[in-house]
Amino acid sequence: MAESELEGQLRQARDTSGRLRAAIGTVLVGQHDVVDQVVWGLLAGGHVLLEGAPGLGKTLLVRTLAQCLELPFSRIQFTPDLMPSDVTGTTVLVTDEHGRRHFTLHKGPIFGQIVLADEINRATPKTQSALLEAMQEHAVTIAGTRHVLEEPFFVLATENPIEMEGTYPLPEAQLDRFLLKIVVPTPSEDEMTRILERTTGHAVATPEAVLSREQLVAMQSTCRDIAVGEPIMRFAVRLVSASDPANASAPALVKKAIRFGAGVRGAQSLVLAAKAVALLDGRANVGFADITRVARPVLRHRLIRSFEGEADGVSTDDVIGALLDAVPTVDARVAKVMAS
Amino acid sequence: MTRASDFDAAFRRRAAVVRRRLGLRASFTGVALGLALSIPCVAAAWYVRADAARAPLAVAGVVVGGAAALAVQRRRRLSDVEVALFLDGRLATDEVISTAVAIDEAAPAAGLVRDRATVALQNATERQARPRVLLRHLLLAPVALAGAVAVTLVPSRPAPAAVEAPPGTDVVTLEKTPELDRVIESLENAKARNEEERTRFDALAERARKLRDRAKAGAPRRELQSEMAELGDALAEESARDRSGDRRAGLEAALAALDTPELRKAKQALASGDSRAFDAETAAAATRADDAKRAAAKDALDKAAQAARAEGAEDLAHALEEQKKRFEEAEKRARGLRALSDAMKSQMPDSAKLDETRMNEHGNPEAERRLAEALEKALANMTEEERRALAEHLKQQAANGSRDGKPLSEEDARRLAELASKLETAEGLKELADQLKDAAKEQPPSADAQREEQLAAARAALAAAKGALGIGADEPGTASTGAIAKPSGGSDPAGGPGSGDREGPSNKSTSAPPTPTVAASIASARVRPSNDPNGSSQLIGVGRVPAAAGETARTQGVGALGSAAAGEIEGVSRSDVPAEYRDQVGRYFRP
Repeated sequence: MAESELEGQLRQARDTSGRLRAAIGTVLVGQHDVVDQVVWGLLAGGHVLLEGAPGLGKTLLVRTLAQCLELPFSRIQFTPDLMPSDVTGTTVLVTDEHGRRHFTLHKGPIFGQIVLADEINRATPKTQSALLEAMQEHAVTIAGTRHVLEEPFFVLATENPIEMEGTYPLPEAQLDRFLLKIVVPTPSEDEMTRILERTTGHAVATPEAVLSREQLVAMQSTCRDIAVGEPIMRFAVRLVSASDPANASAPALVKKAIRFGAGVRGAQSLVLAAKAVALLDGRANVGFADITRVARPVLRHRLIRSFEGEADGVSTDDVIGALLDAVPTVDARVAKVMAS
Repeated sequence: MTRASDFDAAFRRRAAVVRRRLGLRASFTGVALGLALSIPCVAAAWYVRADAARAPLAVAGVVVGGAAALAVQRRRRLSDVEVALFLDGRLATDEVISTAVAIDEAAPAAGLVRDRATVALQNATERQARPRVLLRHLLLAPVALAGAVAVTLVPSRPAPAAVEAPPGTDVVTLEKTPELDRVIESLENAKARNEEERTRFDALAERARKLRDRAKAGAPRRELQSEMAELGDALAEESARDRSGDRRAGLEAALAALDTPELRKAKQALASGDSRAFDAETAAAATRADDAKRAAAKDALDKAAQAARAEGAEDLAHALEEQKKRFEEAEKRARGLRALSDAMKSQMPDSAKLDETRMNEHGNPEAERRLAEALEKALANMTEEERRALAEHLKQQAANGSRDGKPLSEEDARRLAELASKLETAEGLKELADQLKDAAKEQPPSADAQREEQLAAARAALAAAKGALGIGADEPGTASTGAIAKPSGGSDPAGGPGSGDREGPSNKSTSAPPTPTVAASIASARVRPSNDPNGSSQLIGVGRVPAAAGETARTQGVGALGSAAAGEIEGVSRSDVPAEYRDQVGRYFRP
């Protein structure tokens, strides 16, 4: 790729991301960080798990994003009686105009390019597995036939942290397949006021399409081209290693509150998400700040708390904060020189 | 477009600046630390008074500190990536420089990253891209420099105050010791009564010889004084040997036997141990004209010798027997003088006649000597005819057996005949003149008197030696009132303190000069004698005795005034004696 072209891609990415955030902002009030993080996942080619109380705009965000991207959107409301075939689709026996009967594939919602898996923890593990397999493989197998899903394929799953009764929490191995876990915060008073203004009248905002499918794929490709220096990658690795309570460099809070730390996929996700951040910022390389910025959404669902951690009410975000405090970005000697 | 080589050049230039300034900073830090560490070293040198090492130590601290810091800095030199990370941090470039340094050439973004890194490096000011050299901790440098200079230039530590040596510990060297030489000579010349006594005298002489050698080589004053005092005690013990211990009984028995009117003074002299006076009194008794009294005196001497021998005092008995022989010789000499003076009465002056009377009545030895001189002169002045006439006259008296109408004893008659024959011949005349000359001379002392004289001379010389050490001249044998008197009839054999050619002692110590002698004839002390049945009693029942410094408290052994208990040693320094008198009192009680 020519340097001017990469530079153009970077500039375009920065512009596009700005327009995308503005378009979403016409529909969704506030939640800028959530929007940014969703875009990171989109550009990095990963899937996103949204966690937040009902009514915070999770579904609206996903639908608006789909409208802005001009991509096919599908929604799956996960319920306990939801079957895998309800997700992936199935073959059905149909009779044509000639009276001949044959099986025809009836595609499920997974075949959309932006898929909203609403309240994913309410479906049974079997159904969850069907979705998660598609997320990992970007393909589904129906009646013995493998069907590749069209790129870009972006799944946004939501979880309701309250009303945990009758739910099926996602296993750790499957949580690991989400690039990011985004916590949707409660809107502030000002944001809430503006939400009321927008949603209690007749006016219905329609976001403009900002990004075509081809542009999105190109941006995802550009994201992979972002350079990552060895010191940055080592920092990501040290961060992940320190999340393992068995590691000597793990801080005390990790040893106390964490049962299992992040793995290789966590380190990969850190770098990928950081690349997306750099891309949106128009930079050709990743910095320590990018890693630090994405650390919480990337790692929070990959750290498994111990009984003691849960009993003490230590959140994974607290642990990640301790990790960021404890793991130096550079060697101590260089840090000393930089500090002087 | 900026090329990759541009990035390399820009980065190398910035990296060189960074490394150079880091090296400079390390050097300054090392110098500051070296200076700070040199301060205690220089202070230690000051403390031990190694002043010459102070400045080199301070300089060495600077050199070693700077060199060590440079060596450490070189060993821990920052790599390119580390320098790039430093630059990223300083320039806030989101790690584009470190990425550019480490990025693979084939990476899609390599060119763009390097371009941006180059731009970042080129746009940065020198101040932004360089580490600070003067850090806060380098404030230590001027402080350490000031401290090191101050400690280097501070005046030398004063020498410790000289600790005053305890009294008597100053080393004294006597280059010449004529007093001790005289002690040795006197002891070697003293006539011993027997082999045992000879051995003791030789041992004392050897002690004096060693003492002399020590004094010449130099020894603590206290030790020399103590040894001199002990030697003086030994000499005193020798002088008092007949009057002490088991010999006392022999002396008492002899004195009882001498209890006759004729030997009254001789007895007193023997009792007081004055052998020379004993000689004189015995000789006086022997020259009296009264034959009965002479016989009684001779008998008393004989009995005294027997009594002393009976009590086991063999030495005293031997001395009394010698006195008896001297008595008989003196008796014979006096009898001859009397015979000649009777014969030459007409030629004798009146003074000689008076001396003859004194000799005959009082046994005056001086009168005897003067009479002998007068007779010698008279004999020399006689003509040949007068001598022949005198010889003839004497022959007739001897033949007649009477003189002036008085009958002569056979012995007297024989003597007159013998005298007449001597006057007739020249040889006889010469023999007679020689006998008169001998009679005119002072008679030699007895062996005991000579022994006593030598011992007294040794003690007097020893006292003079003590004076040379600063003990003072108020010593036994030197003071006029001392119990042990000077040798009678002669000059002071020791020559007295300061009378010889002795040079003063070369006192090497820094102690104060000796305490001036107290103007008192007798230093008295309360006596609590130790009764040692196996040793000699040195106190002889005397309650107040002349004392000298150092004789009242000995570190070891028994002194003249008793033994010193362990608690009495250095007791003066622990007592409440006023400080201004403590030195003087301490010298008095010094062992």
